[in-house]
Amino acid sequence: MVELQDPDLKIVELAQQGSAKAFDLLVLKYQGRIMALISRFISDRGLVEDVAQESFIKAYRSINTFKGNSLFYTWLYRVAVNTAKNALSYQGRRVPFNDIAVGTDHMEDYHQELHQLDNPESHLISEQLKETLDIALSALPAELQQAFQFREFDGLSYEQIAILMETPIGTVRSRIFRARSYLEISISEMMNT
Amino acid sequence: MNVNEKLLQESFSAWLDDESDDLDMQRLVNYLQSGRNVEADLAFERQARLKDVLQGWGGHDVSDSVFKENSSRTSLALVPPSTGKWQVIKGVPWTLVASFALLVAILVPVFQQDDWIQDGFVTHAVQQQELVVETEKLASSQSRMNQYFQKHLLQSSLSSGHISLPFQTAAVMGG
Repeated sequence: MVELQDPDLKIVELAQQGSAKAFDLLVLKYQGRIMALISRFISDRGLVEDVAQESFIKAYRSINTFKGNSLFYTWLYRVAVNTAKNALSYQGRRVPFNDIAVGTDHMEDYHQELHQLDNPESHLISEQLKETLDIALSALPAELQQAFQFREFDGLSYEQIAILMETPIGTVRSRIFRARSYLEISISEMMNT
Repeated sequence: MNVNEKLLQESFSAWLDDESDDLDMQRLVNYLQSGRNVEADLAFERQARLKDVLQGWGGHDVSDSVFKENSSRTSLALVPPSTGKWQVIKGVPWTLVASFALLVAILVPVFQQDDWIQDGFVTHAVQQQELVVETEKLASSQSRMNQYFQKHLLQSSLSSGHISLPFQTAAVMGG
């Protein structure tokens, strides 16, 4: 059996030693995914944020109970699901998710579902974002654009991209980072206007 | 952005993608163990946010509120059991301290009631007075019994052949 290497382990260890800053990195990495997960069961946007916040606070307070038997994200996922269940129970609503499987395949499923989440406001933002991204992406050098699209839109690993683009993995890493740096400036400018 | 800063941000980018290697992790650990780095903090936040937006996970951010909440709280889980902080308080075992505190908590409200002491003394005094009265009564009847027996013995010795129980004698004598 192949043992999974947890990419978060060292950061989690620092958080277990009391580093709030280390835990903050974990929040930055996973908050979007956790909010997306909770959004599947709770439609009220404000409540989703409250439950997400509560999930991370619970996770921080009980982080020493994480023993590394699973990936950190799997553990965090369970904390979030239980917190969402409690929030729904408190509201006297039926809990619709008794047997949620945690796994990579399942993650892919909900990523797809999240793209389908729709309301007028998010639709407008998505349209604006899409437009901004298209413009920003088209302004990128071709090799950066290609590496970034392989990663973000096709979900390929760095190794797969390196094979496809016939370049070393280090170059792929660098290209994706440069593309991301450029795009983040474009997105920030759009969000601030 | 200097070279180190750029490498640090690239390591964070790789970590976001779950593609970090040992060197990336070492850079991130060093960053976490060093002092505040505002430029890196902001860059990380922007990168993470961009990824969330691209993945359709929305651009909402709870990291600030979580960080503030966590910084203001010390998790009990974060206190290592081996430090013994909860076992000994200034060299006194915590069980003794807890027992003493419990005892004080129970006894103080009882002693704070003035009636408790007064009632105790009054009850004791009444009981003692009653005991004295009873003893005096007992001594008096004992004395009367002695006088009666002495008188009966005297009568018995004077009238021979007439030895009977004193009550019978009294009844006969009473007619």
